[in-house]
Amino acid sequence: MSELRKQDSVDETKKIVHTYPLLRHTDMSEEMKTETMELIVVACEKYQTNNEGAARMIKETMDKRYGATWHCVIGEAFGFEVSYEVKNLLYMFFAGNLAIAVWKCC
Amino acid sequence: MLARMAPRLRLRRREGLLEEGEQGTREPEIIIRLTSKSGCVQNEVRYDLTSGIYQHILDDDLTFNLLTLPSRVILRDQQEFISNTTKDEVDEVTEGRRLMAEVYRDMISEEELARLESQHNPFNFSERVSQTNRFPLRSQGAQTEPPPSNCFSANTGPAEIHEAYSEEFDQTFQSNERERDEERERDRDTTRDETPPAPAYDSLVPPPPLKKEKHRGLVGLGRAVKVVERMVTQNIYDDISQDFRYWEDGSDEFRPLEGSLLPLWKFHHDRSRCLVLADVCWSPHYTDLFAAAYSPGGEGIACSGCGSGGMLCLYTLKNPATPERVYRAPCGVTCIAFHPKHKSVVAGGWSDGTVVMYDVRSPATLPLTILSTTLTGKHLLGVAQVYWLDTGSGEDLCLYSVALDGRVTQWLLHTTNLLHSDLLTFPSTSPPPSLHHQHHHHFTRIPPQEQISLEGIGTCLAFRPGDNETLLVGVDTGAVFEVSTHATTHALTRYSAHTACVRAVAWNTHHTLTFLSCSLDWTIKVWFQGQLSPLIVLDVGGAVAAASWSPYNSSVLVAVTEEGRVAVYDLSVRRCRPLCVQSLVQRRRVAASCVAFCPFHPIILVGGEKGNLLSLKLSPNLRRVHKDAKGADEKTLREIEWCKMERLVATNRG
Repeated sequence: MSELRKQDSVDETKKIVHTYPLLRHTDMSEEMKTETMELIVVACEKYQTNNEGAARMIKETMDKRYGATWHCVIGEAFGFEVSYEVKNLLYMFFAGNLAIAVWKCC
Repeated sequence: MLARMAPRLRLRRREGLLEEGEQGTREPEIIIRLTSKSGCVQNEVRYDLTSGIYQHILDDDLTFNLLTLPSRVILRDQQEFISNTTKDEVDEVTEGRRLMAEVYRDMISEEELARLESQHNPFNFSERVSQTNRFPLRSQGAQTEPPPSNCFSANTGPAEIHEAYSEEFDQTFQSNERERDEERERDRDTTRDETPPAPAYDSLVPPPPLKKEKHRGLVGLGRAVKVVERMVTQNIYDDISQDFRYWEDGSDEFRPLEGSLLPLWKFHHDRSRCLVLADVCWSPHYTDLFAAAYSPGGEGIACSGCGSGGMLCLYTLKNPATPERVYRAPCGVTCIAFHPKHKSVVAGGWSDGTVVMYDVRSPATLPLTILSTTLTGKHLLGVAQVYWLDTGSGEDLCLYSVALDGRVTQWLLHTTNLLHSDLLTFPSTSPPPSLHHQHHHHFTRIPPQEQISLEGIGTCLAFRPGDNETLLVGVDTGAVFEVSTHATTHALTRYSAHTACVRAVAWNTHHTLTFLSCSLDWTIKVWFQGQLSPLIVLDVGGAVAAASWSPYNSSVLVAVTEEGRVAVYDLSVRRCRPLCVQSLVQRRRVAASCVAFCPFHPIILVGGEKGNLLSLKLSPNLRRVHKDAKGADEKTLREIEWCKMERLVATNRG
């Protein structure tokens, strides 16, 4: 019985398209984290086809909220190695195919 | 003379010296007179002891240099001379060295000597402390620490993203599965188990909410909202709160025979405007809690949109704006009473004759009530008063009710049922139809002087404090009967008190042998138990709707009239007129219907038509205590109050 259900669940995972935001790494405070994630979701939904616009919006809003200087990378495939101010980094996936990294560094 | 001679002599002598070189040549003597040097001693001699002769002291050069400036001008002819002199100096140095080397040849080698020579001269050394400070100029600046930074790196691509998502999904799926399993387990448990035990009638604290996963976010919200609401209302009514606690009427000192009532909060509910406040009762346990019973009055029926139902509201002084609980009733609630021991039990009577018990801990939406039904002997007409008997622990809760259908009934709360037994049945004035009444008449006929028959319809009752057997029943004909619970058919004493319907009877709180009765015939009468003529008759000047003894002073009583006036009497001060008369509402006649003393604070509640419920603070004159009572303990205080009433009884008995 349980095996049957497991098989069903595997089938389900194959079909399911994940769209929810998935946090991969952050060292922000809880409040800042939720705000930033909300902002990212809003930006990515607003600029669905224009990653540059989304990144610009995120960067500018974060600058306004938490002070300069923020950087944002949005893309489907990229690698990065950055130095950032402690407690100011967030790295998450969104919409199943986007990776977003936001960090603060002068 | 000496002075004048001196230059000449000198010159001569000089000539004489010169002469030594060039002998034979003699130049003519030139006498030059120079400026006098009179201050100088000339031709000084000194005796030389060794040679034994006087020697002339030569002191020809009398000039001395004040200032010598080295010349910077070097003549061409002198160049050679200068170079010579410098060479000489260098020579001098080398010469000195050579000499030293010669002297110290045996002790020290030449190199060592050169080394010593080149060293700093230790005898020309000045201590650092003896030097003045020199502060060198520096260029100053500060740099803050950079904020701590860290490094992070990651690689991402479609594969990584997909992997992360599926991993997360698996985790949540598993946890969901686990939760579902747990829930199923729990369900099985609860179905097997009994429902939680019935709450004990002990505190007003609501029972802990049932655990519901769905409402997890809202747990505690209601409590927080209530706290905020109280904060807001207490802020709004801050001046009233301050008055309640601290304001005393200063003019009382100068008018010993007058007092005043300070209006404090008004309590109302949205629907209470078209209802009549029928009864009000303080909680004997919580200092700020009281219950108010509303029933639709004559005008309430005409009022559209509010229905004909009454309600029971629980208010607290801490939140005057809204009632703590509102229990709706299908018909008017005519009377209420808090149980003296069980803090959360309130009994109420409805205008259709139902006797109700509320557990006021239960929420208003789901009231926990026990009703008397038609099958369990409910009254046929409206209940006039309910009265809790203070039973011992372990016994069933005992309640007495008097209703307009002519019955005084005892109710026992046995588990969740109300068991009734009629204590008294008033015979109807129409020809006695029932067997029971015939029986009753039969009894009265045989010993007419001992057994006193009942008449009329009971409107109020009061048990003697500390005596669960003797009670007073006021009837609509104006009589007051003293009844024992053992004699269910006749009364012990009949006081022909009033000429109109008796509205309230109340035993004195301190002197338990005196009681008052008030009636619509404008009077309040104070009685001594067993004495058929009243001790004191007070003419209030209006139909008295309710009256009550003060709980802190044996001689103070408050009455409200149907014109909406509140009168406060202190029998030990003045009997002919009240100390204070005040209207419930300014400029309008609103009938008052009930009054209640707060057992903890010096305030009273007065209720009336149009849902008016007003709290009034008694001024110091209205709660004056005996001069010996200050600082006395409770026992002596009770004695003092007893004595005061005893004196009143003694003076008025004759």
